Amino acid sequence: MRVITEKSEARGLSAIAGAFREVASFSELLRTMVIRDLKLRYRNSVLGFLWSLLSPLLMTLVFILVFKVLTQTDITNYPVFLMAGLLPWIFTQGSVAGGLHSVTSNANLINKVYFPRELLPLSVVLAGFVQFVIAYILLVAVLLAFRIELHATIVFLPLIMLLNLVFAAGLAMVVATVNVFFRDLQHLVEIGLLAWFFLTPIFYTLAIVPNTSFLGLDVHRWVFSLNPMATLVTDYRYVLTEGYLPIRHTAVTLVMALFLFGLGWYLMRRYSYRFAEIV
Amino acid sequence: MPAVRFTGVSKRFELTHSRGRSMFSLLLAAFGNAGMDVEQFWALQDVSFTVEQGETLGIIGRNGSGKSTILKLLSRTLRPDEGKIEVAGSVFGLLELGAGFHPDLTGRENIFLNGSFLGVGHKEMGRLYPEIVEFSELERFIDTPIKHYSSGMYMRLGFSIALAVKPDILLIDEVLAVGDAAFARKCYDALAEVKRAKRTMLFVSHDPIQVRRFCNQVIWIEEGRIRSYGPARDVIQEYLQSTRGPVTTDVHRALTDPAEEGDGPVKIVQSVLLDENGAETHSALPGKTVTLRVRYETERYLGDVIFGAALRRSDGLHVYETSTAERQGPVSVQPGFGLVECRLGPLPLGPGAYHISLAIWREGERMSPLHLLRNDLALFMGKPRGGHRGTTVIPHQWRVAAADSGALPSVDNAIKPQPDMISSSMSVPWSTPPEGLNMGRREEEYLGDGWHPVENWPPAVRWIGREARVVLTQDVARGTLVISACRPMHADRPVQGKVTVNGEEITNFRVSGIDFEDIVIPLDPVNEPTRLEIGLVMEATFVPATVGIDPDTRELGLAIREIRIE
Repeated sequence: MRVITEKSEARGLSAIAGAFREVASFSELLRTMVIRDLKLRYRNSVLGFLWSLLSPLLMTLVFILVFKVLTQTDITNYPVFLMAGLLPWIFTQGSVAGGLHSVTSNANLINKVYFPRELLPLSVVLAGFVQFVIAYILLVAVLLAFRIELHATIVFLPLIMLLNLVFAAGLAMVVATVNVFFRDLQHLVEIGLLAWFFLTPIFYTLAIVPNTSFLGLDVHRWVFSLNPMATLVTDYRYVLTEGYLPIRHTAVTLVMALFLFGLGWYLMRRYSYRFAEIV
Repeated sequence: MPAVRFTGVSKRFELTHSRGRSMFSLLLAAFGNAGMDVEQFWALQDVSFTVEQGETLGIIGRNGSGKSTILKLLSRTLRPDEGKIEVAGSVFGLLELGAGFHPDLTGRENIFLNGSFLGVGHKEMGRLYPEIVEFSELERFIDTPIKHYSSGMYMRLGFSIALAVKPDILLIDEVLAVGDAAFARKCYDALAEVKRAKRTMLFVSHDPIQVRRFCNQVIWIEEGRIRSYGPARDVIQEYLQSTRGPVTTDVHRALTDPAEEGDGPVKIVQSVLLDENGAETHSALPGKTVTLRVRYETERYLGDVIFGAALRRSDGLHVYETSTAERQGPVSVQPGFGLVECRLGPLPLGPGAYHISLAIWREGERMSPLHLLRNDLALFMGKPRGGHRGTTVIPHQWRVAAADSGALPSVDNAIKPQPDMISSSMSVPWSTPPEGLNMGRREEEYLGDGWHPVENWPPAVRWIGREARVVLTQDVARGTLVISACRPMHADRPVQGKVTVNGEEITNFRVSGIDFEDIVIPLDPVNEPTRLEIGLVMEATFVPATVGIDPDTRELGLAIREIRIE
């Protein structure tokens, strides 16, 4: 017989391993949930899966219209510049927004079936990731088709994507858990995502921001150091078109992503048993 | 070896919903629970029990007593605050309607999704898939998103999956009340099979009869504590005594005593319910008729005995009881086999499960029957589409007046009383009078508006309303109205009435025999073919007062074979 109620005695690494094993044992479920998520995302829409490509394209068009035509930005190859940063942003933003409601909107499941609750935000993030990767591959293909020069550093692209995934998943788990107990979060997140979008150099380069000093550090440093998305977006661009990977910034982001992932998972593990009572 | 063991399990809920989760309380919570004023509610307190492998445990109790919390703890959607729960093997249950279903996915997709929740892989689920679809009878809808399903269909799908994946421990939370009678029956049979196959099951219900049927052991939960725990028979007896106050011996015995009693010289050897086509059935719709057929066996001449049948709802409510003593008097029993039939209906019963008990006793010895089969037959009453709710079907008529008319329709165009609204609402239209009436050939075509089928007695109809009408065409050369009629076989008195033509009274009639006789009425000659409305008005109006339950409306009215103009 197996005890299903008491917390595991395992501590430290073996506890982490145990948690991994459990999620792994539900990998089939995770796969099904990701597929379910992808199916549902575009069900009943005429263009279906195409939207995951169309909506970033249309967004890019809007930005081009605003920044290229109205403000005369001098960034070279602005569409590529935009797309390279916009796609990861859409993925990350979608993960946070989707993860936020992943637990609270699945009361039906939480109340009736047992499975590791981490799967809820994780499946949302993974579904977004699948779309993101497909879109990015198409982007690279388009770049090749237009004979835009790419660099060998493109081999780092999967690693950066993975880093982005870990970061997004961690964030999604954190907001998913907190939102169960503290519903005000969804409103904060809405505003937060907007601010975050503007603080991330997606449609501009840091060069156009006047670099004034603030609390002893310059603004560029603040934005870069505290905003992993800034690093990620720049990373994507650099490995594609500059042939260069900013190792130091990326390392900081890696640490932050791992920390967030650990925190998210810890919160999930620690509090998920109460989800059914509250949701 | 135990399959499930609860050791001192308690579950507490905090009732804070009304205040909501404010920023302030969250801050407080972050610094420990100091200053928190939360009302606590113990859903379960110190609950300990063990379910052996192959045993079926029933959990009864009132709503909110904590029954379902046990299943939720077991399915790991809740975690206890105290105590230990151990299980051996996989656990899966039907906790509620459509647990784990996604409304936008189709039935097929949901089957596989549900399988994944149970840890059943895609391949294995593919193997079980045909079985699930077949049991659920949803072939036609399997590729429809299940948000379009009815609650009954949800339940069928969920139940079929739970049954097919064969978890080591099956949890069932009173879901069987949903769905149509035929499927409920199928579910009950399947659960009985689970019990027979010695699979472990936990069954939560507030229906003592079902719990007793499917469970060896029963826990009675009250206010989160175990009030009683033991063999099904003892616990249910205790439960019924407490919930009903002093139980009448009858109900009490019906639910707790052995199903068979008496070893007298006569025995019921077979009993079936037949539908209107004579096929064996276990279910019916309100307004339909079933026939109870009992086959008995005896070795010697017994003199006069009485056959009786009692109908109880699944919660033990004594709905109706009847016996041969009421009508034909005692039956004398000859050695060998014999048949007794009782026609029940139109049934005025609301949806649900009913049980029929059968007994044979000597006159005056009802309390010590020669043979008694308690709850021998099950009858499931279904719910017609858009149909009746509640426990009983009451014959009724609606009248609606347009707002500007300010009054209900006048008597002339008001709804005419129907002899049998229950059955007419489901069978033939009754509003237009027939063109002629020749029951030898057209008996199936026209019934109603005073006309009634003759039980077991073709070829004729009976007319039991106060006034019945027929429209006939009188040709130029013809001038005699002939009504071929007799009194119903079961009536013991002559039948009298009046005949009207186009509303004018023409003559009186009186028939006393049970052989058809012609009532011959001369008519005024006509110059061209004329439509005549022939009316039959009863002297005394017999309304079957006990619409539905009393099968013997057979003695009412006038039996008519033919109405013609010669």
